[in-house]
Amino acid sequence: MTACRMFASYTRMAMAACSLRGLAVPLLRRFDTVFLVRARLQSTQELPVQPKYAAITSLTQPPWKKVILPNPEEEILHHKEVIQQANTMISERDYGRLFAVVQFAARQWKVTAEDLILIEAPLQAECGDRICMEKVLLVGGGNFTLLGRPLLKKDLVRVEATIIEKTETWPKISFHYKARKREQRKHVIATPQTVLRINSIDIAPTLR
Amino acid sequence: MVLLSLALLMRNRGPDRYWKHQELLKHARHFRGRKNRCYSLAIRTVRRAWRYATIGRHLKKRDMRQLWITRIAAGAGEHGLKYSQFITSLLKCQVDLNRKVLADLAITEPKTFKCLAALAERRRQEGFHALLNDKEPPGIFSRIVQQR
Repeated sequence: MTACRMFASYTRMAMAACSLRGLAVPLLRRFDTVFLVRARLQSTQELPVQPKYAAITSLTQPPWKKVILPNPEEEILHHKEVIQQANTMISERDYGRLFAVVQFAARQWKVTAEDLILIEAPLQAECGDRICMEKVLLVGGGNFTLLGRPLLKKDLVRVEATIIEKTETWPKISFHYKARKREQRKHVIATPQTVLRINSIDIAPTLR
Repeated sequence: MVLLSLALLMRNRGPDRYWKHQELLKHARHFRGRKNRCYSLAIRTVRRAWRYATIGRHLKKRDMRQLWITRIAAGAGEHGLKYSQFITSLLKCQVDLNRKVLADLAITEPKTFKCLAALAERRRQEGFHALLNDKEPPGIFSRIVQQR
C-alpha cells in the first residue's frame, strides 16, 4: 500500500513538473491500449481493479491433510448404539470365554479362566485361599471389549483366583568373576514363588 | 621308641574332594568334550557359564522389551500408525497397558488391537484439530487470530 502511495505521489509531482515546463503528458487511461514510454508517470490508482489470480504453489496449502472430525450429534447416536449392542450381549450372556488384563505383583497379565500363573513374589494369603483381583485394565469377549481408563470399576468385573502352591525358584547362581585377577563372588539366589489358578472372570449385567 | 616322622609326613588333604568335584561337575554334564568329565577343565568352563548366565538375566529384560516393541510396531503398522504415535496416543487416552500385554493382544486378540489402533488414531486427529484449525487455547489472545 505504501509503495503505491509513493508511486502515485511521484507521478503527480512529475506531471506537475511537466505541465510547468509545458510538456504534453500522454495519459492512457484505458488498460487495453499499448503503454508508451512514459507509462511510468501514470498513476496506478486510476486503473480499474483487475481480478486476482493466485497460482497454486507448494505453499498455498499446508503439507498435512486437513483434519475433518465426524459430526458430534451423529457420534453420540453411534456411541449409544454400540453401548446398546454391548448391553444386549452381556445381559444375554452371548460371550463365550472372557479374557482380562489384570495388574498384579507389579506386572500385567493377560488372563482367562482356568489359567495358571507363576508369580515371583510372596503373597500373604495361604494355599487354598480364594482371591479377588482388583486392578482390571481390560475385559474382552468374542465380539466386544471393555477398556478401562486406566482401570475398570470393581462392580463391573470380578476376577477370582486360588492360591495353589507357594515355593521357591530353582537355585539361581549369581557369579561375578574377572579373568586372571583372582576375583570372584558366588551367590545362590532362591526367591519365593506363588502359583495361582484363575477360577473365573465375571461381568456385571449391564454397563452404564 | 616311637617313630613319628612317617606319621608326620602323611597329611590328610581332606576327606571329601570327590564329592566337591562332583557338585561342580553336575553343572557341566551337558557340555561337550572332556570338560564334562575332567574337573580342572570343567571348573573354567562352568565359571564362564555362570558369569554369562548372570549377565544374560539383565540382558533378557532388555531383549524382551525390544521384541515387544517390534511386535507392537508391526501391529500398529498394519493399521496405518507408527509405534511412537500409537504409544503416545494411548497414553494420552489414559490407557495403561504395558508393552508385553500390547504385543500379546496384537498376536492373540486382533480385533481388540484394531480397536486400540483406531482409538489412538482418533486421539491423534483430535490433538491436531485442537492445534491446527486457527484456534487458540481458551484464555489466550494473539495478534494472528484477532487479525483473521
